[in-house]
Amino acid sequence: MSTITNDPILLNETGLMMVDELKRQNVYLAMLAEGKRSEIYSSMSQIASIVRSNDVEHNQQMFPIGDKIVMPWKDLDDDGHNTDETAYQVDWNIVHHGLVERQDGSIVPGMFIQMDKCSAYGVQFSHQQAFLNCPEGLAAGTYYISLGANWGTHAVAGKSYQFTLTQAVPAGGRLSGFEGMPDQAPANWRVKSWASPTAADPIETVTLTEGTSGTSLGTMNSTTLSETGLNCMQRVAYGHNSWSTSAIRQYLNAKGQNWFASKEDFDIRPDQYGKYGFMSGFSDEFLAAIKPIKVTTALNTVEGFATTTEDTFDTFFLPSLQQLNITPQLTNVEGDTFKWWKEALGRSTFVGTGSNNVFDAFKVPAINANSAQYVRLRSAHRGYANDTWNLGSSGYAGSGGYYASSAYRFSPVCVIC
Amino acid sequence: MEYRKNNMGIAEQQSLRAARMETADQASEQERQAAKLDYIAMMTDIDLSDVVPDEEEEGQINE
Repeated sequence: MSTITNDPILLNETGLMMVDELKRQNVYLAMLAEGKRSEIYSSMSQIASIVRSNDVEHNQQMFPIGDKIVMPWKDLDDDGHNTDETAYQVDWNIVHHGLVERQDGSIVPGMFIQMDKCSAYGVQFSHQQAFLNCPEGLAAGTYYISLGANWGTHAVAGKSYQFTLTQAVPAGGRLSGFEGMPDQAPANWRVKSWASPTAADPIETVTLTEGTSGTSLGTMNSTTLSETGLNCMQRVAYGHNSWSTSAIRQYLNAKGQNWFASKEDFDIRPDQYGKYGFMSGFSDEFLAAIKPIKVTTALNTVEGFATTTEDTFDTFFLPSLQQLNITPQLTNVEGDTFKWWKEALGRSTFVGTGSNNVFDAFKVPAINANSAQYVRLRSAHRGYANDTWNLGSSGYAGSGGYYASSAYRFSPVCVIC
Repeated sequence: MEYRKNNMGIAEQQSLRAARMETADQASEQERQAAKLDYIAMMTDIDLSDVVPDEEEEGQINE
């Protein structure tokens, strides 16, 4: 006669020991297969499965920093590169291993990979923003705006500029203009009226002249919103350096078209709004292997934000200064330094910015051009509302003039986790 | 997908890549200069072979 017992088939602690042992065996296998990793790893789902079943330490041994994963990326807007046969074969460097936070709050091991080269084309971080949001519309007529600060050669505090709209702006519309204000003569300034932030074209584009005819819309401040609801001069002239609300963040994390939505009261669609989102070019297998993770970015200090940093959850994101081993403006908030960049720069400590800090690793060619490009980072130049940090084509990290409205290329990061 | 094992120092790879880009840039610049010279010669109706001997002529001179 058989005896029925209540003993569990497998004790929890026994199971955990077995998992540990399997991980150890995996590492031994990887070591045995040293030199044969190229043959062993054959699919993204396999790689993702290994990363997810190991811890950071073991992943570092299984997937050493510097190894590459080559994935096709189709440019669906380019007839020469929009098929499986003609897709770009894009190298992704394994740049870092670390713990990451996923959207469900779980903390898991992640393998960071970054595009070895930069993108085939540039995307605006943010279009030049509107100076006036018109939630209830605006009648046709003559209006004027005063400037609240001196800026560059052409923006002079106290001067006022008038313009006449021949057509009414519908509810939800916006007015933009004064683009490049500090660097463009007022004779070149224009005002554009938009039916919506996502409209392809303005309703009309009109000229400005100095004067105070018509209705005052208020005075534009340098970096803060005005009491009358006007946007600030910096964001109007050259866009906004806020990663969380940026157009490029939306582009990078979008599949398909119509990916742009206004995230701020003054947003205008980027010039690249008609392109397919970046994710459209990848296989479903690749996209299944990477997951959104928490990304922290330091905010600028000139707009009076209540916090110093902001969190987003992104599948693709631009690297920060610190992640590229460059001296950050705010230390230890924008992610751990990637080991790959320490090795590429040959420095275990942060490198400086500016033309005295030229490095070959900062000379980044594009997937379609064998010459160094301007490459956008997500870190705001914190003393401005419209400027971010960039890698310049001369091989150094810089800011000041790398306006959000410029369509620079990018070398994004994603995480297998 | 293809997995590529790294066989070289990362910093060395970057230096090599930068050097290749520089060489390519120099080659492009030479091509640009040559094209510019051709254009100037065409516009001014100058026969460049009268000004700059080609390699064959150079060889003959050396002989």
